[in-house]
Amino acid sequence: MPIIITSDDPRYASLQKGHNARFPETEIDAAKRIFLCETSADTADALQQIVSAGLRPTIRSGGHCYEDFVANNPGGTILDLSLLSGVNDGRSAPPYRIGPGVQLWNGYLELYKRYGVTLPGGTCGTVAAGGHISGGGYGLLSRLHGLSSDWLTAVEILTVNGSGKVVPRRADAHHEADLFRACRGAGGGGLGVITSYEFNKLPQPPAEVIEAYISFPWEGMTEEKFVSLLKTFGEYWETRGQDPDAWGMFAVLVVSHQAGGRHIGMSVQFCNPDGTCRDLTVLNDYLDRFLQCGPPASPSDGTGHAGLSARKDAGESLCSGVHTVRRRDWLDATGGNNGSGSSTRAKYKSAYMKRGFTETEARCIYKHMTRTIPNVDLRGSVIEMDSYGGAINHKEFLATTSVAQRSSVLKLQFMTFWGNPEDDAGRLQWIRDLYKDLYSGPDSDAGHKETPWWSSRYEGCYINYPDRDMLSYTYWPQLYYGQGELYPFLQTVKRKYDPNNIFHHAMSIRP
Amino acid sequence: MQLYSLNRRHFLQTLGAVSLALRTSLAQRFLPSSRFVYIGSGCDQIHVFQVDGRRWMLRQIVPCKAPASLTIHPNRRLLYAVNRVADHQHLPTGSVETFAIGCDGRLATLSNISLSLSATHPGHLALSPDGKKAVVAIHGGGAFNLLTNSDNSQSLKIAGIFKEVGSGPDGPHQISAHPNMTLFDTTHNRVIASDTGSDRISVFSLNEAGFNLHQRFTTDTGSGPANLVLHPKGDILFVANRLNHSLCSYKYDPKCGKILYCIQQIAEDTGGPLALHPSGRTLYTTAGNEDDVIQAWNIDETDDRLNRIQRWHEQFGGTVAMAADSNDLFVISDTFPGVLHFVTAPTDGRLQAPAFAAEVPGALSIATL
Repeated sequence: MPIIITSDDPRYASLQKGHNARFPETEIDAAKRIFLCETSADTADALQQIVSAGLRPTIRSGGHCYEDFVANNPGGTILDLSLLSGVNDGRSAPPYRIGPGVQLWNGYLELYKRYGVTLPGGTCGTVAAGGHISGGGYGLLSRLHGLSSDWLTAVEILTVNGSGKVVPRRADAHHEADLFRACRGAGGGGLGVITSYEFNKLPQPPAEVIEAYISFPWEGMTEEKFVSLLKTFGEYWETRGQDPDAWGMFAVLVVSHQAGGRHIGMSVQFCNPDGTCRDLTVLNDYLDRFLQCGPPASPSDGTGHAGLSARKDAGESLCSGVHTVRRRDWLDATGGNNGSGSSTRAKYKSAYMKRGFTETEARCIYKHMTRTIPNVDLRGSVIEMDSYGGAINHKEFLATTSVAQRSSVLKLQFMTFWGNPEDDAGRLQWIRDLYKDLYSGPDSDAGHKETPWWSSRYEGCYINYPDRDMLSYTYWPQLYYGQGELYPFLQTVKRKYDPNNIFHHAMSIRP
Repeated sequence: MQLYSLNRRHFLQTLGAVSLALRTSLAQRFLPSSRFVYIGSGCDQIHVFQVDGRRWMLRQIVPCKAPASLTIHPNRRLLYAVNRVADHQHLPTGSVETFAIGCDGRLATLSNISLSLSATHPGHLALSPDGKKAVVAIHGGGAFNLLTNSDNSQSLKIAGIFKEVGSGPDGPHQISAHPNMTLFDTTHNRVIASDTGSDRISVFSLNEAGFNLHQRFTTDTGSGPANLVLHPKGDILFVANRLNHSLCSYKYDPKCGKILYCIQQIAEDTGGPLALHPSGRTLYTTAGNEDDVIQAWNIDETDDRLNRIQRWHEQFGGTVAMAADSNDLFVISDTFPGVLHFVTAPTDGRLQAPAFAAEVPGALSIATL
């Protein structure tokens, strides 16, 4: 039986909210109860109770949803899967079976220790598998091994049929293949409740990795230097970075708002495609390109990207050309990179880029990252620019997954974090202004201004970085799912497997 | 039994007369004895008419998105319009708009609130007799919303959501639940609700936190229960079934809040909107088809059975709503562009020949004050 938490339970205050402290927005918006499930049978039982009572279920695995999809559920019930956190549950592998509540770091540990494999997943260690995989899921090894959802071979999922009965299903490429495809990247919480993710194969992680960090101080950072830095970064990932021998390298350029960061930082994790670190030619070539922009690479002082920070005291220091880098065990490096930050108020946006930065784009970013707004504290406002592409861009996944973005070389995540609700308006204004301005330039599509509409430069947005602001554009589904057959396909699946639209949120697939 | 037909010539003659009346109406002065009729239009408007006897004068047209249902607050100072839309403020939901009614019958917009997430294409709002609770039947999104204004303020708030499930054999119309209409029973704390998609009538009790399911009553498979009327005594529920074009009357126990049994089933040109004469002696039914039939039925006081007393064949049919009061029956349709005004006999509710009262393109809903 599920554990039922109601408002008179001391756990309620903690469990009715998610990682983004903005939600629930008001007391009225909060779910009335939380069902904590420990098994698939529990989950089916809980779901049936919820549906039969005429309540709306919202589904939570790790609680890291960027938007209000789970926590804003007035009078409804949160179906919490965080205790479905087993890896294989004593069964032999392969296939590897991961519960939706498995936090990524725990998943990495168990998969590695038991089977010597890993999921090419994300860097936020307390994000859980449920939301991560169903929305695509990418991380430091994705350029080498593809997205988490690319490896998925089956799901166990609970759906609700037309008459309101909970139906357990097992979907794979041969059984209910349409449902299976929709579970590979369309986003969570909109079709049913996935209780297990299965993988026939998973990649071996590299034995070791090289980490490097370059800091570019804001002090003395002119607009011209900033433009040069972004162009250097983007150009590499558009060109040389797409060669297979560079797929083992992942870099993130973290541009913090001038108000809060003393520097802009770039973190790099590298291995050769065979999982070794014997040949550092590619890494050195990459790092050398930034000598014109700043000092040589060195281990970080720990203030780099939360998910990728080569610390001075970790691993073995070595010289790589003019750069000082660190050699680390992959597991050690991954363990050190699994911070998720504390629960604060936050707003996020995203964009896929098929090309590097233009001068206009770089200048626009500089403008907003140095902008001041009276009475608005912009510390904690960041653009993370992730290298992308490589194995992710295998085109065969277009037909078998629900991730339409298979031509991008960079993925941008716009973020701002703050504590006081009184600061909401100023923070939201800043991030919205930045985004609209950036995607209204000469390279943006005339009919889709203010958005990274699909073009020779952009590939829309990432559903795992959902942004309700996009709902104001009638074409928001195409921003996330492309202009092709994918979104109509997902709508067909939605009508077939969730005819009563039990599973819905602000950005779920419209029936 | 009398049989009548509103033919094309009659229709066009009355239409011409009404157009003339409309042209001259703006010059009419407001009369203290006037009443007001509000017609929601698919052209995203509400037309406000001042009615004196058989004379209709257009007083105002106010914008209102897809007003599928109009309901007047018991205090006669507020009108609620249900917006049958799929999207409100960029979210997948419908909305409810509130208007203040001035002493001259004119409307002024007060608020427009979103319904719950996924409450798309709401179709009907029922208001409790004290005006403090409203229940919206959400046809597209398959749900009911309870709205309250318990502090007697002018703005409604969502106090409860009931997400429906269910389906039926009529593929295109019954793939999922489609709540169509609700009405309060005489206890004022329960609502009776029809669901066209799942062949079900439900009874809910209401509290501050929302809905409690009290009874599920299954109707004939594929019937599609849609329109409801409760007899003033509170013990007979009339249900028009949209999909099999039938009419059923049920014995309802208001004390227990339960539908007990079917009194009678009629499968002759029924299934469309219903209206009840305030005396409780006459029920008006429509077929809801393009070539419509309006019928008047006497309700036998001894056995509660219906006996037909009148039948109008109406070529410009497709009735979408009716409203009856002591002397009048107003019929609006989606094929003729306006309102038919029948005068009813005070003794037995029989209908006299109708007049085409007013032109309203794409009429959807009606409320009288």
